[in-house]
Amino acid sequence: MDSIKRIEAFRDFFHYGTKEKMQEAYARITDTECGLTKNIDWEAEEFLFNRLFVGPASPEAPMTASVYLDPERHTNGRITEKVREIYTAAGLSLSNRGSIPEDLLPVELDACCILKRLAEVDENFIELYEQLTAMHMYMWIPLFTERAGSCADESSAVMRVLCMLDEWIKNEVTSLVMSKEKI
Amino acid sequence: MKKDLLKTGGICPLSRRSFLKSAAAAGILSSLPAGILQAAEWERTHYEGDYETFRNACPRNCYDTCSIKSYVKDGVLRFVEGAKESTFTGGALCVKGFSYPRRVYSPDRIKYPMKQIGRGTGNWKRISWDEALTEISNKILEIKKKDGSLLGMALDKYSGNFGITHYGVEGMMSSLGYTTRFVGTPCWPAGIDAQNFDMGNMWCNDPEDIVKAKYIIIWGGNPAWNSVHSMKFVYEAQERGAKVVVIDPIMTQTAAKADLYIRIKTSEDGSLALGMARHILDKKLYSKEFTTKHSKGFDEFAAYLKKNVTVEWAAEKSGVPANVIRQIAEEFASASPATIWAGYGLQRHTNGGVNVRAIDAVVAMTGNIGIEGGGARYGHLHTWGFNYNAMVQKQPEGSVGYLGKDKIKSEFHGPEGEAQAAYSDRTININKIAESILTTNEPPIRLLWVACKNPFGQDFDRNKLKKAFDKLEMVVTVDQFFNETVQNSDIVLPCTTLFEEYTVNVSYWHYWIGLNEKAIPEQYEAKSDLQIAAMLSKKMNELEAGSCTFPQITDTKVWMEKEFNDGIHKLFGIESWEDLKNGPRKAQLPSSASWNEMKFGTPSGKYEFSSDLAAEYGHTKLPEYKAPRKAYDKFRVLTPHTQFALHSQFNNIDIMRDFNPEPFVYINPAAAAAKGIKDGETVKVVNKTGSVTLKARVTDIVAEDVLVLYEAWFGGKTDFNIQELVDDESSDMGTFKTGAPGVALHDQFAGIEKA
Repeated sequence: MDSIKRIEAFRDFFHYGTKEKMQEAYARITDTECGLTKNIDWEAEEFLFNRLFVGPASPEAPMTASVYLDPERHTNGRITEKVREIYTAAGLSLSNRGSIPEDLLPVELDACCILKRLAEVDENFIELYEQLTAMHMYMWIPLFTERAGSCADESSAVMRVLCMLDEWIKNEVTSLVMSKEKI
Repeated sequence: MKKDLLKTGGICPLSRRSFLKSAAAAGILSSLPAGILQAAEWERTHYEGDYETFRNACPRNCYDTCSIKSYVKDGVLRFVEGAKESTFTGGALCVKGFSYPRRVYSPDRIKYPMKQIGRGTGNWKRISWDEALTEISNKILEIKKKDGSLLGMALDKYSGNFGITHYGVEGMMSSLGYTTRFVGTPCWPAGIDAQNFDMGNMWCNDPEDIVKAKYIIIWGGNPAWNSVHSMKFVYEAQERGAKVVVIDPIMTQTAAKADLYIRIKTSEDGSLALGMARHILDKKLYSKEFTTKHSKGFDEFAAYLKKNVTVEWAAEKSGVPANVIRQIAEEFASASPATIWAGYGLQRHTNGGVNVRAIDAVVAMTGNIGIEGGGARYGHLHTWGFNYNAMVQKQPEGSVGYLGKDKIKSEFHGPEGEAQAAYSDRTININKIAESILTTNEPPIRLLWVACKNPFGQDFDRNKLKKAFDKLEMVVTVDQFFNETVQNSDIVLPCTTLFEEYTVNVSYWHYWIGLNEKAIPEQYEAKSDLQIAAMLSKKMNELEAGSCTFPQITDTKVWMEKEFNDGIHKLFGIESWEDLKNGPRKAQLPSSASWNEMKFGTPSGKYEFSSDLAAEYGHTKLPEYKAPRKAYDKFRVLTPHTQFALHSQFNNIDIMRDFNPEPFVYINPAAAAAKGIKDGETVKVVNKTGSVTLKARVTDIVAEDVLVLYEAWFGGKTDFNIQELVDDESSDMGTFKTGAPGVALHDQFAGIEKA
């Protein structure tokens, strides 16, 4: 699968939070990686997804970078501001600015997609992409997937996506480092 | 580019823990009594950066109703401070207020409308607003079709948000039809009735004028925790030479600051007050002018005292030594002005109302009513004269309702504009919610709408309440955070914080008005109560035209503007609400003293030691002694407010849990020794209602026959719920002004054993 489409699939999986959208995104992710989506109880996956990431009870693994990177878990603080600065530098902003934090996982994944596309036409955006992924997402996604994974059934689809997300960010950063070393 | 990007804003030098310490320290410093050291002038933080500022007002159920100034940058609420324009708030907030940004952006907030598949299962699905409102609307229409009325839909709402526009929730219910309402108040109704029988209204002096008092008795209240801004006025009075006496069963933080702390046997406030009154009478220290010119029934009261009360009797009943009773009676009667602040705790008893009447009588007979620095302080609603535009909504044409005589009452507002309607809503005592849901029929309550309230945290007899919820066909809860009520709901709707909407706030204690501006966007998909009502109206009318009359206005600013009127403008000396953008304003009163013209609101126009109205409501005409509720277990259980929360609000915020990580039961050393309980040991507190298991703290702040457990939900990993131990026994008064008696929540008893 095209790299951007894969990130889009991750984004959609974490963004909508309904079983239909999760299933659809999961199919896109696994068509390239793991294949079949049968034998999955998507209702149970949706309940698990909400328990882990959304609520209404305190999410066991909130999908906001600040929770993992800010020493005080302060959302909309220093970490969010740093991410917002990357978006601003790229000419991006949230359409509903102030309603959700910029360091929410699906928002960051959306930014990855856009920056990757922009980087294809303007190499200045490569550096921004590196900052977002290597210097930011790489710092928290493994912590996030580890925490969520410790609360999820290992055989669940959510768990599989978490593993693949973790693998993706590690591979992405590795390839970025390797491309720099070549230079 | 990289260099610029990495140049982020300054890193906050304070850790979470030190933040809270700073906030607490600020509160302490701003209210230090005189001593060798004094608090330096409040050193305001110097803020660099391009902040937008907004006016906000804390809408919590709290004396202080703080005026807040909010600082916003990049659409984000960065920090808050107390509005310096208010001499009451005085530029500071309490530790809860300072934590607001943390609360607004907590990862734990409810973000989307959600539906639970199987109540209590924890299996939640995210649904759209349209899906949520469609499901709710269909249920409403189904009930109307099945029962021929909407009396099967009930509202349980109270003090979670006192913003004036939040009475739109009641308006939403009216706009759907005649429904069932839980009315009355769990908070302060016995005292309200008491003051209405005595004086014709509940009307307290301006709390800022307590600095003029020469003698202050704080009776059954703990403002050091629950009205931190009032304490600075108490301290100033002390600096000016006033004596401060605290009467309380618990050695509170307020008691620690007093010149004299008197531990009283719980619920024996009446005997102590009557003993004081008898001594004042014997010593002829009462005010002849007030008792002859401005009161009714003083001679009967005096005769009652002479026949039934002695200081020794009062000492035996109250546990306060006779010499102390004589001392404080003489000191109080000799000081002028002298004042008593009657806390809400003392009226949460089966004799709470009449005890407040006895305390009022002491203040009145000494001539301390109607004078600055004096007064029997309890609360007031004199600044609440808004339009209640959002609340006053008309039922859809052809609506069928209740034909009984009961009328809606609430301490905060009058009837809902349907005075002449043939039908009315069906009203049920809010303090009997569990019992009422279980027993109400024809029609039964099928759909419960919960707003501005956490009944599982605040309502009584948790186990009975669970059974009651199990009987309901649908429960819709509007809230900001998950709690046990949400856990027992089918649909939860996320609601905004004060920073995400417009409204206006006043206090039931001080005399300031504060504008509340929308400072930041609604978080995730949260909506205000008014927006939810407007959206529900739209959906109802889509499904059945004419089925809901609520205006489909979703701009909270428009609703806020509609609450102002000439009376409010005149009272606060403003041309329009926009003047409040410059800061809060204080009511322009001829005197800081309530009843300063000695024109009382009673039938006689005088202070009534003897009240025929009280007798009409089944009470004694005079504030006679009434024995406390009979103990049904070994220890009395007291469940007062905690310092780091307001009921179940704030308890769940992580920085609060750092300081308030788990509930404890506080037990006297002698009682603990008799039970073999050591400090920190896990114990089980059990009574006829239920049980809780928690750690013990051994301390002499409580009497030997008392257990103290601070109220409300603590969140986190504990399932502690104090309502396991509190039954729904009624207090003596409340029906006259609030439609239902209060609850005797401090008349509870339990046993304790090592777990």
